[in-house]
Amino acid sequence: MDNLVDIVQNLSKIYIPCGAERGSCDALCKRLQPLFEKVETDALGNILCLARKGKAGEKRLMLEAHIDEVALVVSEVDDEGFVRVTSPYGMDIRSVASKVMTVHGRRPVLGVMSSVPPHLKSAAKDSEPLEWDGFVLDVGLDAQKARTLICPGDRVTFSGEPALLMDGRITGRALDNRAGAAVVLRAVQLLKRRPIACELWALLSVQEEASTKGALTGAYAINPDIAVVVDVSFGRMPGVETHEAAALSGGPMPGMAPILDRELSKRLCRAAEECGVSFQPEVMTGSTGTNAAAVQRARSGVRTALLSVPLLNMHTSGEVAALSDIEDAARVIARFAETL
Amino acid sequence: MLTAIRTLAMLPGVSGHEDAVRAEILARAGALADRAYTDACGNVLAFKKGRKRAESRVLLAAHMDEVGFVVSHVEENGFLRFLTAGGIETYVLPGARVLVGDARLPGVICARPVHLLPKDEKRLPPKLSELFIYIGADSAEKVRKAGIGPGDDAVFDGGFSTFGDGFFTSKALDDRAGCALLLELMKADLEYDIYFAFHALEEEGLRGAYGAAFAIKPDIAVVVEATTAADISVVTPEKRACALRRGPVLSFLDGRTLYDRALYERAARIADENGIPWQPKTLVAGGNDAGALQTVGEGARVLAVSLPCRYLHTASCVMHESDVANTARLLRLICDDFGGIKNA
Repeated sequence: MDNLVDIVQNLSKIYIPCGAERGSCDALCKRLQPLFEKVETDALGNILCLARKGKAGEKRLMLEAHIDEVALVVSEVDDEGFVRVTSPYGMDIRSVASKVMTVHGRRPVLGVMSSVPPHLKSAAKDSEPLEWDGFVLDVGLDAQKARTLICPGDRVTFSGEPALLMDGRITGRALDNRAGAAVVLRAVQLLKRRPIACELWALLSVQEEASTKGALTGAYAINPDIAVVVDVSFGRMPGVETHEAAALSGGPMPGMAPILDRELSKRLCRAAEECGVSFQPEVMTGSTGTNAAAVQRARSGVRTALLSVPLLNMHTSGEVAALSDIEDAARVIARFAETL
Repeated sequence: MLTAIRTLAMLPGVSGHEDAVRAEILARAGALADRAYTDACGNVLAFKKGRKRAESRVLLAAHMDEVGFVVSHVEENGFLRFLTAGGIETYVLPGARVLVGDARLPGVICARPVHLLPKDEKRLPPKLSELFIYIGADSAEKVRKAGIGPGDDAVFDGGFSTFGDGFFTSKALDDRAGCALLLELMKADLEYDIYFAFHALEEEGLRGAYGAAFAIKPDIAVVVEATTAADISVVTPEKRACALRRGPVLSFLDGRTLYDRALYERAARIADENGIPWQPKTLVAGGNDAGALQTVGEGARVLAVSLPCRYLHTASCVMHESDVANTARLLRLICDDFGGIKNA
């Protein structure tokens, strides 16, 4: 894992469906070993990575990014061999029709999510909400054969590999939050060559899309003094207003929210200024919708900052991020760590 | 056969801009037929001599164009507004990958994130006016410099995959699979002279077919199409129209055409006599170039022999290999039979 494009692409090629991460995480652990002193997993499947052992009196810094991706869950294989699904993790129902998907069954099974063509649709349909029980995944198998490969509970993800657009944009599934994971790994990479005075951990957590479960136990285990959570947030496009989103390639988004540590938020902004990185503050209330909410309340509480990467098409097969935002976020975090 | 379908399906050819498909088909037809040429509509027309002179002028027709997108406006921030060429449901679009313009720049169709939608819109199909193509450029100037502007078109970029037991999926199987079947027929040692037409502009009002019919003046026109199959378990049986793995689909009636009853029965009999499975299209829906071919000049007797296809007009049309093989067999027999019909 050398340059940034490779880091992002390699991460987003892996399928890590929410709640069924273990197999993929085990494989990922092996690939992370060269970058870290120690890589281990916990009961939920989180990947806990020690980058630098601290000396006595030094603070412990944890960089966190969730590694799971939105997925559907198989509810049954029906008598005609089509796969019925439920959606517990927030996949965008408006984006699934006709997409190629993979069932992570006994072996990976490719399928196409159904759609009803215009020839057969009534005009009234456009104003009717889409329902998950109106879709089936077409795996091209009869019921008996499909049932030998696919069971209720198996996860279904979008299929396919990332691609580069012009001007350093990357598109693909699961950039939420492989973009964040790439920021963490890149920051660790940058810090390898720099003197720091803190213990440094990376937590690649599971089950974020199932209401931030992994980060809670991961943060408990690492027990940091300070945490920086890295996730994606909304990218600007027509119809998405300036105040609710940030421009792609406009720089990372330091979070400002009641649950986030004010001083650390300011330090992130200062770190950005010090490395000449433009940034786009993101002001929120409530949980922030990220793992910051889980990390902040681990043990007796953790001082937590949040840095996000702007993303288009969140929770669809075609998420888009700017590589420059990922690189810049990593530089900001590396600078932040240097000043601790 | 699958390789031929794949090659044709991967080419870009939005209605009115079929150039890449036309060039490929013209090259292949030129090598296989006695005559192959293009006309003002953008059709490829071809003639292949058989062992005998035909009693009637028989035309086999498929269309080259595919549904796609046309850039209508470039926003200041580089996002592209677009129209659809042909009928495309908006709910197959968010997150879809496309290739834009002659340079085939990769892009993605963007919609507002579901998280930011009001509750009552979270599950509604998006409006076309809320969807944009994003190519990575963040200003109108960069889009212009990339050579993209209003009028440029875009096609789905989904790739070609086989899956399950003999199924395959790709964009544009409607109707590149039909085109591939026609080219396959051209390779055969045909009994009678046959005319072939590869139409432009089917998805935009059957316009290529009108021109082709005027030039060829067929007595009998057989349209080789991809027709909608809704044989999925969430659709009730009476609305399924036809099904994959049950062989070629013969239409007696669709949204545009009352087909020639005698040709329909003749094709069915040929299939039965040769043990080829076939099925009627059981829903009056859709329409194809037969609607045009039937009424040009003095008119023609028309038949449609179609490949059943799921998820038509999306990036992931689905067909089955057995239907391709059975349709190819039936078409060959039809050619060798229809050419002998006198006074058609």
